[in-house]
Amino acid sequence: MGNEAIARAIVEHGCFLAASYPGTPASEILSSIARLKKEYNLDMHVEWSVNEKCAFEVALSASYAGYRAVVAMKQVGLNVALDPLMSAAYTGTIGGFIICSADDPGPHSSQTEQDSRMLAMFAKIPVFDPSSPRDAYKCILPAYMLSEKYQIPVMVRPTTRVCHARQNITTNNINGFYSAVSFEKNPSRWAATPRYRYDLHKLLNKKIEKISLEKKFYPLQWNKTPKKAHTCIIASGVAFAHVADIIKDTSLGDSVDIFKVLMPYPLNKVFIKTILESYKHILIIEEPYGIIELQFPEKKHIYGKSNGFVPCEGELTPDIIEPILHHFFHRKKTRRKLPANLPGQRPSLCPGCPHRASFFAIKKAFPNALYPSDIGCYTLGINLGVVDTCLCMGASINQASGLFHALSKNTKQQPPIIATIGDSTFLHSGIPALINAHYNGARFILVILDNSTTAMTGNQPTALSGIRVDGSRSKPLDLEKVIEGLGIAFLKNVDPYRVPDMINTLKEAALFLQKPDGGIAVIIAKHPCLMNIPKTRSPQPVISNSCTGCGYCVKHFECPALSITNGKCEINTLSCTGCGVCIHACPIGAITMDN
Amino acid sequence: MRGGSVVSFIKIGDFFSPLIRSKQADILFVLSETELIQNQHFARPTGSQIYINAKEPRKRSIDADSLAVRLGSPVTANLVLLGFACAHPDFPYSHDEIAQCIRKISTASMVDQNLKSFYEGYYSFS
Ligand code: SF4
Ligand code: SF4
Repeated sequence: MGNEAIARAIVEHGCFLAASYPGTPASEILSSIARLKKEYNLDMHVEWSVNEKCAFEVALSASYAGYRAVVAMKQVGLNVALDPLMSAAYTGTIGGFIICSADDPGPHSSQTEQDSRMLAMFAKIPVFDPSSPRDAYKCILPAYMLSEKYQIPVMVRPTTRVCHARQNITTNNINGFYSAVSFEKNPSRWAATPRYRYDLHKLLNKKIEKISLEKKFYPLQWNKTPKKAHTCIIASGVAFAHVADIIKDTSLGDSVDIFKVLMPYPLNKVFIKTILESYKHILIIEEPYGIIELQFPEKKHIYGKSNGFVPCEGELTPDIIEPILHHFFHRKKTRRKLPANLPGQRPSLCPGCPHRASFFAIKKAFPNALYPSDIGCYTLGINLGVVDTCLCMGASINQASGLFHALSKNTKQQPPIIATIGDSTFLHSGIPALINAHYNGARFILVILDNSTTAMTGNQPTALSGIRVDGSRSKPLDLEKVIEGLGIAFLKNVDPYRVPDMINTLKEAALFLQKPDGGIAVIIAKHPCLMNIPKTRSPQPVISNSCTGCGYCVKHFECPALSITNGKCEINTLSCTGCGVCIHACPIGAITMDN
Repeated sequence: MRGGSVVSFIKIGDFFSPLIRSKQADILFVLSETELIQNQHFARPTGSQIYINAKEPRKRSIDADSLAVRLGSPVTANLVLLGFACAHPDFPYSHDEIAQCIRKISTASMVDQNLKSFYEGYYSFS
């Protein structure tokens, strides 16, 4: 897997500190590093940080001290770490420092299709854009060396198709030897005031100028054309791989030069000049944004995103690229009919998922509330009609607060606001939001869906679990103490499997909101994610004869173990976990536990 | 979370891209019948083999789910389908080759179960 290849190369080349926050498609980078640490008994530090900003700053400081380090995240995670990224470009680094930010054109599992290479350009740091797992494996050493040569952070930007693709790779040895280093004080650099920042900016501009002239990263000509060509294709990332396969398969491209760009920013200056002087038709294929394209000062001969030749949104799959190539070579549009994008099967919460129980109780208690929510498995509560917003990590609490202030002007009809957030997301960026909402007088119910894990990205342990990524033990964070410490006066802990209890607690919380001295009511709905508890065969519910086959349980409760077959509800005994929550779902009580 | 559509591509040989274009796939394994319409455009219009896990019999289909359940491991329905495909004379790999692979990549505790499911599919072809 591409992420494992990146991890392997990072460890082979002597990285001492790796930090990350899980996020698809980047999550396996850190877990693979942790696995290698264990397997080779390496004396390195690996951590799941609480969020990407923490991860970035922890890793950066190891580089300040002279060690090679890496921080990994998904593209939207880089937004969270943008503040230190911008500043770190100025201060520079000592030990090689790689920022591995994985993009997700499509998007397959992200809220945006943003291009991390744009943020590299914004921060003025070089970025590598590997086209395959093997490429990604091979670019780590040059990235570390470039970082050390210029004392600058270097970004490696794989995309989903690089992170998740599998390919055979010949690996090298891991020796795990780290030379002793130390942090050398230099306040005018590490703690630069604005006056020194000007100098650092000047220095940064010089560095990036020099890097743009590095011969080593001059784009590679991939094919040899017999005659001098007037047409060329410039491609980077996995889009290059798609182009190469299509060219190989078809008779297209006998008279076209094809360039593969490993470092899209800064694009080699000599390359830009040569291309503009040598070719009449230049096709640029990259995703998701046109970063290479942006660096060409003259666009007259360029076919790309800026003139709508290449789509500006969505993934550039081979099926999208092939007609573009035809169009480019034959100068006429060939519309290949793409299969209509039928809705595939939509995912739902697992059978027995504690989130379903929480959502069901919320819906039962307050069917007409406003439901700001957040990012995690529980975003699927949208299927149950209990998720109204999902903006970005931690936004649920701020949105609940904003909605409260906005709607409280309309004193007559204030619907209750019930925000939901997972435990990992709460730790990631919910805590400052809760401080803010509480201090500024918002009133709403906050349900923390605590399953003690980061379920959606593959069950990485959170600070509440007491386990670190390498398996060592830590003291689990006491969530209740944290919330009490913020001054929250209403705090209740319930097991969402006990649906009536949960409903009562929600109603109690709503009363608290109305009290003159009320405020935010926090409910911790605690039940572990089923992936993390050993499977036991608990007794399963049965459907009684009174079932009318109305389908309410399937439609509004959506447990995948329930289905309507021959006009009756049926329980799939293989996937049913015996959680028993569905007995509360049937409006006429046709599902019972007493068998 | 559970139940979303998943499409995986396997390319054997010398390739750059991990994805397959429309009308280029030689073999399709359809693990859920409902996904067929969505994905059959990947198969070559002529000469491709489409193996389907389906309750009702149709061309190159097998009820892999029920067989896997009977063998006590519903998650191995994919291996039942693979075994079934492998029994077809035009399938490019022999059962020995695939069985060897299964032995190599399965976790130790699953080797026997996986092989059992694979051969259940294999011998279901007649
Ligand atoms: S179990 Fe209840 S809700 Fe489900 S179909 Fe039967 S009557 Fe309707
Ligand atoms: S007990 Fe009911 S809700 Fe729980 S898994 Fe089984 S069918 Fe689903």
